[in-house]
Amino acid sequence: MNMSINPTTSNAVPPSPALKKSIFADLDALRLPYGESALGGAKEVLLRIPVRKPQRQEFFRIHPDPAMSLTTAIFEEKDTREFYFVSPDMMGSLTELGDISPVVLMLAKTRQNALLMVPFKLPTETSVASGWFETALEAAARAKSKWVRMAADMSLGGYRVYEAQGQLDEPEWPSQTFNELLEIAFKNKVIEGEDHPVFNKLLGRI
Amino acid sequence: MATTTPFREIWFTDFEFQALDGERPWPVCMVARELRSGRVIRLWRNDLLSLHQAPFDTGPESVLVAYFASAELGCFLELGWSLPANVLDLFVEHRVDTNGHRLLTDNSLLGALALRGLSRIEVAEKDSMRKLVCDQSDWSSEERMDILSYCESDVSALEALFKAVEGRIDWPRALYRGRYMAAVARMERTGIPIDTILHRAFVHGWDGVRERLVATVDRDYGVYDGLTFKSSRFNRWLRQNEIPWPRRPSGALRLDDDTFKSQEKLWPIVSPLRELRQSLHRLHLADLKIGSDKRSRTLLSPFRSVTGRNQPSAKQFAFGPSRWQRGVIKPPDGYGIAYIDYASQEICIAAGLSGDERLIEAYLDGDPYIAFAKQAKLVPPDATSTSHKVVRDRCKEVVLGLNYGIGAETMAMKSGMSPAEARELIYHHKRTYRDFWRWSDATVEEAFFTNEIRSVFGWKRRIRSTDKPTSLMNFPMQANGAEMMRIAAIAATEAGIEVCAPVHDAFLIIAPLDRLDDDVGLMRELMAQAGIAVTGGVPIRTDAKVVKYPDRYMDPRGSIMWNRVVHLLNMPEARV
Repeated sequence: MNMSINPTTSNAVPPSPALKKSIFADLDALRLPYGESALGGAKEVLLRIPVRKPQRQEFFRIHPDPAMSLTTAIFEEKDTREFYFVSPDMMGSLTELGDISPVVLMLAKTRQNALLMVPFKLPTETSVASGWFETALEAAARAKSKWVRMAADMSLGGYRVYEAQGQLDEPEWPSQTFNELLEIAFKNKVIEGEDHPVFNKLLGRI
Repeated sequence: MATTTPFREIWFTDFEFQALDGERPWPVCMVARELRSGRVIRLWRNDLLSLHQAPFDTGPESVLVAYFASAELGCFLELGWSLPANVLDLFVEHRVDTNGHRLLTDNSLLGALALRGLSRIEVAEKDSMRKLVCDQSDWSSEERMDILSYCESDVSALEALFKAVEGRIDWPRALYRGRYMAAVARMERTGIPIDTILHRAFVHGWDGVRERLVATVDRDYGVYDGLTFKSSRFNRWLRQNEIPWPRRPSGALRLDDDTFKSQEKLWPIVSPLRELRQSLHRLHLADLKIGSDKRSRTLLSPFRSVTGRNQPSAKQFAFGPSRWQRGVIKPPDGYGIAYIDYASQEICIAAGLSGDERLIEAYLDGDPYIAFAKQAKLVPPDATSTSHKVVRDRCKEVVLGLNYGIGAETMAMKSGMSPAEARELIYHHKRTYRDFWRWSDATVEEAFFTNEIRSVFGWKRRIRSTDKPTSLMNFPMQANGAEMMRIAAIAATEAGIEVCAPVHDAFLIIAPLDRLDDDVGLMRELMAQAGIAVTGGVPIRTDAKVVKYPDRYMDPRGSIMWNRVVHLLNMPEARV
């Protein structure tokens, strides 16, 4: 590089001072920590777990651990399609009224990462053993190892069960215990005494 | 981070100079003051010209402090002085301090002072002094004293600003940014070589050519009435050619350039119309500032954008929006130029900073879009960008769109696929590059938590309550892309490569023919090193397009329009 004697006639640029280090020699010291979060990451706080069956287009998995399921009886309010957990003390009273259903509550997860508490109905002495119960429970069994969806078919009298064909990832399950998850799912939805509004409604008190 | 000023001497420096359109600066006077000793140097032009070096220490134990230092350093270069070892640019540090905030003041020295409650010379007085400097070539003794005093008032303002911000200066990174301002001064001095004969022909002949150009292009469309674009005729042409077109809520066709730009990707047939509309609006070439040495020069406006990238005036920059007009860029006899750009810079940065192994693999594959298609099992393992062009192009739209937080509907509209197809590709992207998405989400979350987001070398953006997550997603790629360009520019200009200009993620360099290949090789090596410094180790590719005299630079997408225009100007020798 030529140093121009008459700077107004040349586009040549004077060299840098010889003492200057290469920019690359400085960069490691200049680089700031990147990707290290002051937040330390954020953890989702689980506030709601809907109690419902998966919808016909939802692929889902069932938690394979038997400890993550519970055979119990729940009450379904037909007007609002809401489910209530029934405490053991109230089982007798509600059974007499004929309004509770034995179910297996299972923890499920959809492809959209939503957690569900799914009540799979069990046949009773008085109910007719139907294709609905059988096919739903079959779907639940398959869903422990594969992604499935179930679609009601009235002409069949049961659910059609479809297994996903793609190579899909395994779901990530929450770390809470099943009891903790039940508390979230049935928050404010537990019938524990005869003064519960649902019980009052059944007896025509309100 | 803030430390006491680590230098023995701190020199606040200001030049007054004239800068005629496209010419190098013509220094009129300089004032410099040292902080600790109070020593003041006031020199008029003839004194400046008699010196071979700056009249104060510019070695490693001193720092030169200026506001928009590339202007002062441009004067150093014009005077033949070696550049200072250390430069602190208070304009740049003011930008670092305030980037992302909505300011009530501008980013001038006066604005920076006002923001900090430091009032100085009134704007009207400043304007009248600037006029005195710029509009004359000879000054009386009294006028010289006035100008020197005015110059010294700027130095006082600099000192006041420095004292207000000294405790907050991140010295190591501030000096690195100052070093880039020296690179900017060099690049602005080099300028972009222009074929001035052709440039003059275009500018003087344009009015006569316009109507014939419209007639030539419009033969295939029938949408013009004279020089007026008729929306109703365009609507009819779209229907005849079964081309869907975005509309406003009123039902009127969207005719802005951004709409034409996205539509020409789907329907290349509209590309000549877009170019014609851009050119008719204004011949961009008329705004180029070309010096007597046939070099086009404009302020590169470093650190202007929120991501820290340069933002030169689109009208005055030879690489402005109209691609075909770049054909006036031509090396002089005995020289060649090279346009060297980073390949898929944003993807490489995303891969490197997130550490996503699959994204790194996709980048290193050479074509990250077909690589994504293969990784997502959308195409067979032996697919190529040619054999599966449609899928590859759609994957490209998704990869680039997701960087900007664009949703499925917009992607679908831009690429001609259905929204459902776009959503599916987005799902595949998120599933294939989980680590990237985790990193991206964590980066945005961190930004909202700490109220700032920054590059690896400290360029910051403050977060406002109105900022949306999607607007921040691309910041790491853009801001770190700017850092990569800065490092490469510093390395290249200090190595003696004549860099004409940075152009977003590329450089234009010039060299005598006997040195061209070596300079191109060195430039690519330095750009690669800059890439590794930013990505943390992922090697970034560059592509080089070399043009030797008598050929000219041409963007392939502009060649048809260029040839049309030179034909109408009766200059067949300029055809490409």
